[in-house]
Amino acid sequence: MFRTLSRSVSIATPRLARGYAEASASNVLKLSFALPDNALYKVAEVTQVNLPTTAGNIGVLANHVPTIEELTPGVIEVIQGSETKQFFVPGGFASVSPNSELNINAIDAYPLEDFSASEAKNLLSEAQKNASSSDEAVAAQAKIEVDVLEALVAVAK
Amino acid sequence: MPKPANMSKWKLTISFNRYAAIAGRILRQALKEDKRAAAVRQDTLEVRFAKWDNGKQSEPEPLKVSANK
Amino acid sequence: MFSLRMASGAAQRASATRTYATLREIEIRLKSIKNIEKITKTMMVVASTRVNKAARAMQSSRVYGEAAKDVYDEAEVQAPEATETPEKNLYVVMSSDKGLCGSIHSQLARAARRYLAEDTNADIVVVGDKQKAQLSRSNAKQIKLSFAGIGKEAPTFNEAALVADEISKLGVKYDNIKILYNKYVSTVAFEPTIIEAPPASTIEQAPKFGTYELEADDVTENLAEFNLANFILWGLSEGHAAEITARRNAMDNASKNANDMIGKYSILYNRTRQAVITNELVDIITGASSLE
Repeated sequence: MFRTLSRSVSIATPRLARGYAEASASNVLKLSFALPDNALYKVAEVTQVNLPTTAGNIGVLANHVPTIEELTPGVIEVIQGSETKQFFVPGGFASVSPNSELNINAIDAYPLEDFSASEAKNLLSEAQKNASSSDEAVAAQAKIEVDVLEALVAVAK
Repeated sequence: MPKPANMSKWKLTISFNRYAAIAGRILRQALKEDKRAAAVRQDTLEVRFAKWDNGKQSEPEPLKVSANK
Repeated sequence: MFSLRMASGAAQRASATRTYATLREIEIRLKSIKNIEKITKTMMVVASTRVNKAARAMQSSRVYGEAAKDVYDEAEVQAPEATETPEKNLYVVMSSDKGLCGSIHSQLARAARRYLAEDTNADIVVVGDKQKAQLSRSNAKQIKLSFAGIGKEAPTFNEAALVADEISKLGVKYDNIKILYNKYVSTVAFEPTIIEAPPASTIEQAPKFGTYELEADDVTENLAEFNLANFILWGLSEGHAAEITARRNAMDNASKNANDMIGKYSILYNRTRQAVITNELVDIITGASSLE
């Protein structure tokens, strides 16, 4: 409540409240984490978010340089104070805007504990078989599945 | 087509959105049974599409989540 | 209304046998209106139960779509200045396959024709049989793809992604892709609206796009494709919510009209029956007095 109040004041009178506004804005990372059919976080204040990207794993804190990242299959970690939540994503995009807002649009995502490690292993061995199929379409599809499932098997309990 | 050395070279053959559909579907299949039933419901597709040329529609085909071009 | 007046006029003047026939006609008609009312009521109830679900799905897709649009706004992505070659745009016109939902389809088609009249070089992709029927009459030669079978339930990402993929596979470098859909405004209002899904080249030219760090060259390409799917899903979900709501309203109105008619016909039926009884009484009394 206090923070939203100070924010709205800073918008109304930017010059007067500048130093204060910057201080309050720079300490928090605001996370929006959306799925096509569900919003997991809506402009929530978080400490840190770790993302699996095509350029490797990155940790995003407040004041991160503005960036657009393509996500690869892996775990997104959302750290809110002393609490850490883990979600597995098959891919998507994340962008950090100049005002410390992190937007994640994932293809889909589920808490890591919702996955069955044994099911993932079964699916993986089947996908690995299909990956060497002579049918190009079957092989291409299987390779994507192997990508996703290998990453999942590595972390699922 | 030469076999890509790196698995994530899917990009050479198909679009991001087709990748997204395939990757999302396989992920939902790996969910624990109680979560899976509701999640995979979205994978039933009944979409048909047809190409048009000079005002004429061709025979409709079903859309499928596959790497089939 | 016309037949109603006819029937009541007939009832007043008709002979006894004629009145018997009219009475049965009214009864049959009353029964059929009652059946229609039952059907529209059921459709209204079905639509009502789906309204909330559709509205929820729409809210999620809005968050998803707006998050994607945020980056474009921050980077100040604008449609490119007109170049020497004429612009080549694509319009994705999206509604659904089913009717009985008021002016949902016709208003969207009208909006589409308005845009297309000013953009004669554009290509069209239609989603939904109703939209196909409308636009194939006026703009058939511009249609490149048509889709059907979307929107029975709340639209899914898979559907949107595969529609977007087919659009990419057309292999045309469009200057801009404009997604035209019915925006859900309230439970009684919708509005044909456009979301723009510019290609990677336009995004890269945005004045503030340089603020963002990008690791690989193909990220923008993939982002543009992914956002096309997101925006299509957004439009589909808004359109779905607008349509389900419009169908509920249309069925609600139809049920109300049917109820009005049931009321009128019930009165007419009772009056006519009364007239029959009166006639019979008159016959009996006249018959009795003639025997005296």
